Amino acid sequence: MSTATAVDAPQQTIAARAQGLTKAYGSGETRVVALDAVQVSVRRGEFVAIMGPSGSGESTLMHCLAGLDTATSGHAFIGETEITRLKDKHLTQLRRDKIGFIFQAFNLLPTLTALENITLPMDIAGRKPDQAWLDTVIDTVGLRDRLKHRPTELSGGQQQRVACARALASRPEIIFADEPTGNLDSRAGAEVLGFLRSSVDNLGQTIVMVTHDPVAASHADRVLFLADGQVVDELCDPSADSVLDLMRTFDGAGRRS
Amino acid sequence: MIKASLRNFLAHKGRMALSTLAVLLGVAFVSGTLVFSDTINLAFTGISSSTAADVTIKPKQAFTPEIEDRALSGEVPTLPASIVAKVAAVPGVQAAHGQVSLQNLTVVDKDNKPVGPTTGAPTLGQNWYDNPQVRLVQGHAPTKAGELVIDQASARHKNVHPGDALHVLTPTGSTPATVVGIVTFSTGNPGVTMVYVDTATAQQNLLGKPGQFTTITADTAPGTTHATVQQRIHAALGDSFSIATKEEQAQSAAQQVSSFLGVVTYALLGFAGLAVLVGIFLILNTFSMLVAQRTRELGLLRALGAGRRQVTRSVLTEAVLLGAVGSTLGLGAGIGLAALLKSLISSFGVDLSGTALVINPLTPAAAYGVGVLVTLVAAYLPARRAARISPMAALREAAAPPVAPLGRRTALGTVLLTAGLGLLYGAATHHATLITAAGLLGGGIVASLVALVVLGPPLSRLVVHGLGAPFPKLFGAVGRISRLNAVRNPRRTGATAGALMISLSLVGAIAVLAASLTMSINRDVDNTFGADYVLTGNGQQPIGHEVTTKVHTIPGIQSVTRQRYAVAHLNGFQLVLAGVDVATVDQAVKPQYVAGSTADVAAGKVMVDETTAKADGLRIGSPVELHFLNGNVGTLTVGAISKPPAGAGKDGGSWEVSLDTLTKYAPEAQDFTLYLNTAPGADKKQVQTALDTALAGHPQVTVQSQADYKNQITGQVNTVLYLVYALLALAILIAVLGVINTLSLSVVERTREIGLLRAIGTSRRQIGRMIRLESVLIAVHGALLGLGLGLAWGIAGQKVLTLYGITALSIPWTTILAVLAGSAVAGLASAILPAMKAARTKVLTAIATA
Repeated sequence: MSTATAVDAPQQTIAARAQGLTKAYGSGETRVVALDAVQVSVRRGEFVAIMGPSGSGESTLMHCLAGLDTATSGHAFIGETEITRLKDKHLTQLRRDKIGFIFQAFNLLPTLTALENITLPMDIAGRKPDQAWLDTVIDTVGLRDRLKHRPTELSGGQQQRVACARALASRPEIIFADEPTGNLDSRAGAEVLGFLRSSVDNLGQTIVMVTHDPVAASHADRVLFLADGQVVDELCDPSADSVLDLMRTFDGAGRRS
Repeated sequence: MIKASLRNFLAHKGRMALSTLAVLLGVAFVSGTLVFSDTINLAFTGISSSTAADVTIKPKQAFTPEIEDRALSGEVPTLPASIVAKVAAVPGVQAAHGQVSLQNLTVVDKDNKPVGPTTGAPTLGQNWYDNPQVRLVQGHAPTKAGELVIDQASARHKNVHPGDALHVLTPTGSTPATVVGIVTFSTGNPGVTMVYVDTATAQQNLLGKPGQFTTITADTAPGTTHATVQQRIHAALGDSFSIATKEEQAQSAAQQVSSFLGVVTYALLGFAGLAVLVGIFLILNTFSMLVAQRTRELGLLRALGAGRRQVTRSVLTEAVLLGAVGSTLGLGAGIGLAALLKSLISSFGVDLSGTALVINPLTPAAAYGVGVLVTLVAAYLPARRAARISPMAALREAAAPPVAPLGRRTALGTVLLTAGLGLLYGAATHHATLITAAGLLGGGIVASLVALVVLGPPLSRLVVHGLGAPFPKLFGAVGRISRLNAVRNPRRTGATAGALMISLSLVGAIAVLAASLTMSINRDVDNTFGADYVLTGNGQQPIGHEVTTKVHTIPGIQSVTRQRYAVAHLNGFQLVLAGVDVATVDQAVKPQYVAGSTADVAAGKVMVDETTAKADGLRIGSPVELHFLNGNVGTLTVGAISKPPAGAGKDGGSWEVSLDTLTKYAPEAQDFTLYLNTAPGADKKQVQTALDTALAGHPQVTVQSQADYKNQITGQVNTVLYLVYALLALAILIAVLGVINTLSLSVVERTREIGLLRAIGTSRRQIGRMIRLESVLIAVHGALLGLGLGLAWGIAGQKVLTLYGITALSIPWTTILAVLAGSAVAGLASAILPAMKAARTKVLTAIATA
């Protein structure tokens, strides 16, 4: 089923890759397979959306690719590093140095200002942020006049833009976004998505985004559809309508949902 | 609702654990103290009531002296043997016995090692007569001079056997005697050593008054009450004797024991109270956090129609449950503590094995009262806050606890603090009279303490911010976050640090006072210690003329200045009057006169210290009418006023006359202290050797040089200091539990944030460091406030106590810095478990919890 993924693309252009990635919970009768030998790869500079009904394994896939969760078997790579082999210490370093995260909600530290939140990963690593790049990022997300504010003083959309800026500021190899627009109204959501798009187009960023929203998915270069822990289809250069159409075919195919 | 409270309590038992532990510790200390003191009380009064004779006749004294001053003068009131026959002749008296009963003897073996206890319990000597409570278990009774029997416990303990040659030392001299028998008592022996000799030897050698007894006891005939016989004896003997029944004896013994124990009990209960007070902060924090975490749930209850009172009551019910559980465990632990103390003091020779632990009904009542009340008080504010939660809270997405502004608190606290510092300053500068100064001091202490508790939250922002200022530079992002987290909830930080502050303020104040006292005494000793050696008896007893005679003959000693004491009443208050050899006193103790001189004392006038003189309104020429124990009354004139001695002043002041004057009124007073001055050019080594030889047979006498004396005083001050610190450790422990409590609950509250930090690449080690730094900030903040407060109290206290001779101010910076460093270490230690828990936070679950 996963034939459509570019597994054998040249290594240096691959940002993340899953090879026979399997995640199962429990054992015996109660064994539940969240990921079933998934093959996926994400090229550099690509914006990939992962879709699928709740429980289809879409979040688990992202968590395993991002080094937040451990796989039962198979391999996951960030760049050329196989993260399924790494211990917690190196995994943490990898997340810190090579990966950016955007979560659905509550993803800022309330005690820090917007700017401090943006530079947090670098502060933790003890690195100086690249000021020119930081300025570019801040201007791209349009937060220049909000830098001194604390999260509670920002709107939901602004908070999520701070989170985006944080993910970008350390120039990670890849950004994982878990339903970044899930808690936002449509306008704020559109802003964030537009911003993610432009960071791919203008800054060359690689992004993997889990979403349930066809409109959000339409901003991606490619949409992967998951069902029952397997990639069941993919769509290149999607539009909201084409995504919606494809989703209907799955529902029509008699999936228990 | 009660069911809901119970469920909640059980659901949060992990979070309640530390609060329960705090209640447990406080209650254990309270109940342990009560059980232990009741047990000791019973042990001692039980013995005295069962050993007392049916009717006891003693010479009448002008008053009953304080128990600790009873042995100072060495006077032993006696009555003639002829009274025994008179008592025996009274109808209803079956038998009358003359008794020679002496306290504070010293018994030494052939190597001059004391046979009696060396831990403070007395060695008693008596004449032998047929007494059903004393039973010979080996050998025979002493019938002639040179024979002695000893109690079995002491004999075993010191390996004494019949045939051993001992010496009995009394102020009248030393009496050789051979052990001829061993006795036991029907009533148990709480640790004293008893020796018996024949009546003539007891009178002649131990008492030094042939034909005299100290006490006469009468056994009543069957069918006559003790009171009837008491009245008949009174009728037969007249008014000059004090006659007491067995019941009256037991009662007065009980009173004496409990008045002595009372002081100790109250002191221990004071520390228990402090521990309980500190516990309140911990419980307050726990309930605040529980209420904050359950905002939505409580909002739901309100939305479903629960009234405010019901919500308050449900929180308070949980508090009662916590209090009850903590009290029950605490009561058990307290009884265990008392049992432990009981076995502990038995290793000091006080044998209480015959007495079971006494648990009065008051003990459980006090335990539950304290435990439940404290928890209720602590939970009251959070409970009220819970009631104010609106039903809307149930519907809101994330319940953001409203943060009330700290403005009113800051204003109130500032006013109180200003008042408190003003009062302390007043106490320090206007210490003309003790009552005013003590009032100002007490008011200042209370006001400044309350002020800092009130100011805790706003101050925590300020102080923690300042303390953590170098953290971002030193520890990077983790340092910055820990500093911000520490003041995130100023009330919580304030309360957590407040508990530590209270305990450490006492440490600070006591450290300053102890250091000042030691310094003042040392200065005093430098100024007044003119003698080369000072000889004193152990255990507040006179050393006796035999030692004086021996010391006089040592070559190289130029002068021996004797000092004796007599207890007297002035206007109904007891004082201790010293009598000294005026000829050499200037050389021996360099008296510090404010007015008058030694010449005035030599002329028969009395010297009094300045503080007492002021308090009693005495000046040069004032008459003082002294009533002595033996009934003598002397009207003396104040002839000299001295500086108050540092810390060594006796209750009722420091009073002194010439030895001649003292002897006139208290002719039987014994030499208590000897000041020795060596002749110029004498070989000190030879003198020392000669002194050691002369005193070899007198282990009850201590020889001290100026340096020894200073060391002894410093040692005594330090012993008390360490004891107080040890007791304060309980409060500090509970305060540290509070830090652990706050941190653990904070870690739970911030699970999501910690998960986020881990997700974006913060290592476990960094998370742990973040929690540890926060903990250190809170702990050092509390320590700084506490020590600051303690310093202010200590300095003001020292100024007030200049009246009592604490004239020097010494601030023990080493101790203070050590406490500060210790608090940082305590902060680190408190963070161990919470930091571990935080570092183990599972990233996915933390982020997934919505």
